[in-house]
Amino acid sequence: MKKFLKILVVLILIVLIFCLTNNLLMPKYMDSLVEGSMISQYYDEPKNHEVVFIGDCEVYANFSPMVIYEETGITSYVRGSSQQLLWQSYYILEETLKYEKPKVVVFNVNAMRYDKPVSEAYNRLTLDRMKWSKEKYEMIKASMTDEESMSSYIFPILRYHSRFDQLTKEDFEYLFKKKKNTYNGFLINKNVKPVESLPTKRKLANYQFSDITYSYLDKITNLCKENNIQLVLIKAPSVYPFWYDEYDQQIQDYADKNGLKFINFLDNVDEIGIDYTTDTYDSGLHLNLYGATKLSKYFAKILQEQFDLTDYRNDESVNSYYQERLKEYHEETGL
Amino acid sequence: MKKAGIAVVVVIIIALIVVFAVFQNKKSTETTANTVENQVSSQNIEDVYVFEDNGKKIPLGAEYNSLDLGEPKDYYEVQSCAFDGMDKIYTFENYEVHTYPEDGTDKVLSVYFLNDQVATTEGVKIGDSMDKMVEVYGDNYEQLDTQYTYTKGLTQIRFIVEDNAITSIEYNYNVGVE
Repeated sequence: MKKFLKILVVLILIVLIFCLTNNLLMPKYMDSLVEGSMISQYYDEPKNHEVVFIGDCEVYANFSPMVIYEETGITSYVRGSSQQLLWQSYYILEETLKYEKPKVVVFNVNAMRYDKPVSEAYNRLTLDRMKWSKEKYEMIKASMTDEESMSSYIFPILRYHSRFDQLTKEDFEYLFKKKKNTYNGFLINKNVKPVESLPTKRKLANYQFSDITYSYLDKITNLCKENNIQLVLIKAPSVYPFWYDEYDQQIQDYADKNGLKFINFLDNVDEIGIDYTTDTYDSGLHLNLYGATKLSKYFAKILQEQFDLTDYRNDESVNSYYQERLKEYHEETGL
Repeated sequence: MKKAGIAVVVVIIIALIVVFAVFQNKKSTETTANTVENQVSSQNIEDVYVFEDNGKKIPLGAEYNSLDLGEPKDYYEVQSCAFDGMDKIYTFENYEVHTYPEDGTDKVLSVYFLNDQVATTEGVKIGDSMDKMVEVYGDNYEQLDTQYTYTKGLTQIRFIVEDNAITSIEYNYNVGVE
């Protein structure tokens, strides 16, 4: 019995040291590459969102739930991540529904153009800090590039063992704690880099979205239908990479066929008031804080007028949290 | 005693899993690195497509700054998919040169023709017929809808052909970065 206890203690110590080393070596995504922390920040938030955004950087850079709440009292969260691919959006939505059931899901369709994983780096930003679940396992399987292995996600130490000599203060500071880098998934960027020119719009051999992306869009649509959620398809007003007319038509056809609303904000740039000389931080790929504020106000009005959503500003249990966050938001943004 | 035995077996299994996974991971990384390295280093001028403009060679995968192409008419940059820098697009009168970042330098990813004032090194330009393309490059192409791709090593020439006329020409370096 005594011998068994000794072995048990050693076993526990080994597991603890393994977990600690694992966590130490994994990127923390707190001060650098903060995009990697966005998926996990959701877990610590109150789950009372009537609107959930899913999609790539075109959602987390362009839509501010704080502005939407301040304008309308509608609660929302952006579950976006860098280069979030169709299958990732689907599994993130599936995971979200385990925590809460929103009334509206907003999906940005930009990722329809990608029918295979783009790079490990982007996969890591979405997957590294996601909680383990069936959805995460399936998402890894669907997302891995040829060079990646499931074992490196199960044991991140296999991927990050070479970070031993690259550890920074951030790795130790956030070994056991986290900080909020976003406001309900919105990542603030105040920089300004105007659109001065754009490259040539290349001809493509094939504008048809692939079967695989359509199959996951179908899954998203069906999941929303099964849960009585209104799905809204959007295209954020990013001027590059180019959103081709042929892409637009396919999404419009899909929306018509499935009774969904599709809004291409590129068609409403003037109405929204976006000025690409002041409202983007990277020459038109993403809106900055000022552009996102305009777009969020515009979309807040659509949500308020066209969907049956709740104004929580009179509900103290929800409003107190948002007022606190709004205070921090105004201090940080200066708006 | 029986429980102690089980604990030892569990420890051994965990250790084996970790060792196996480390080995697999290392092997996979080394294979990838070797493949790319070998492909790049084994290239020579006969094995690849090289675009030439007025005597200036633009080898795909070459360091952009070493090419001395002069001042571009326009310039655009976007955050690279690989994070470590920017993908850059230099627009010249008749073509665009796209670069990708690697080891702190910008390397040529693709050359995209903008008009019919420029031809491939082998003499094919936008507006030529598909027959001419086949006459010059042969019929060993890969077809994807209207696109015909010829491959040599890590380099490719891609033609888009509509109504028997070439409407787009692009040199591309196949490093998996689009």
